[in-house]
Amino acid sequence: MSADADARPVERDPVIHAQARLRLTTRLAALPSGDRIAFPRVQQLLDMTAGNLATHLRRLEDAGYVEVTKTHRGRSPVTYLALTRTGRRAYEDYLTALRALLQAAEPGTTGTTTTGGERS
Amino acid sequence: MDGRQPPETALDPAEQLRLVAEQRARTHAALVPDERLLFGAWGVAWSVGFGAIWLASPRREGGPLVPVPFWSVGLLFLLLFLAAAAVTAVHSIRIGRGITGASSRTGAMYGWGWFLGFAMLPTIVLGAERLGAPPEATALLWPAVSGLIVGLLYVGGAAAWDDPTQFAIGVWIMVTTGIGCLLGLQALYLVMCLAGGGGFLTAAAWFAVRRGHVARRTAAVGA
Repeated sequence: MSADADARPVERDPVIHAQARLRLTTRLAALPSGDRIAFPRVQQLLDMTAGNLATHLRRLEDAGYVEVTKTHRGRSPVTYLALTRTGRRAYEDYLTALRALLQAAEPGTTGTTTTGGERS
Repeated sequence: MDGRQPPETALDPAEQLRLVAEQRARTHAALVPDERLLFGAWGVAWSVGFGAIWLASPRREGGPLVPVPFWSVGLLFLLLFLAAAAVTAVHSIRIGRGITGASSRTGAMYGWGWFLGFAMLPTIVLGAERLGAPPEATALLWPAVSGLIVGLLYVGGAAAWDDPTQFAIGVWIMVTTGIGCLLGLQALYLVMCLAGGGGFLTAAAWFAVRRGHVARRTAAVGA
């Protein structure tokens, strides 16, 4: 299996690849599925400007990775964000690709022996 | 950072994995309750609060060990418990800010369970008093029913969040309270001080050690 993965060039999903979006998807993936998080809380957690966060969110939303729900809490509108199923899978694939790249780049190790060693 | 199309800085895979690990750890710190703080606060409230009541309550063979007016230790006890409850409430609300969905509903129902359970405690004592229960019996009901509520709610919380440590604490509190009731009122205070308060403080220490291990492992593996 591992040799097979090494034979193909490892593709990294460009939607997640940008640093800001990797941080964002990591944060959203850490929420239990079924939970949503308010836009301002994400902004505060990531220390991003609203405009910057919105830009990256749009990219993730367009790819179907993030679901944006607009609702009201009392009188004020609230925007909630959650990773979609597709988004969660894409994120996990991205991490798998990262680890594969790292193993391929590591000197003195072969693709078949690194998997077990890394976990310990 | 402020342009419409921010630069797509490309990190190497190792740096990216480090970034992921760091973001995960930060999310954990921001969204998961700090058990050290919560168990620590309750540990202090139980050990100092019940310890003070034990010292000030009359022994079977005479007066109290420390002759202070009982209302003063009662007040100390109340203040300690209100403080621990305030720490818990503020911490839980801070963590849950801006989160909605299944887990916030679970947390809200659980929180209301605590509040309502203790809100109904005085009515139980009052009911017993009205039936003519002697003062010693009604005095026993306060810590006894409290211990049962606390133990059961920890067991319930353990079931909701799949947390064996919470289950162990719940069972410990329930069982020690039950046994303490058989030993008499003053002994029950001491049991709740040492076993109850000590149990919470041990849990706080255990979580502190576990957090240290997890942090070191995360740093070492990088993912």
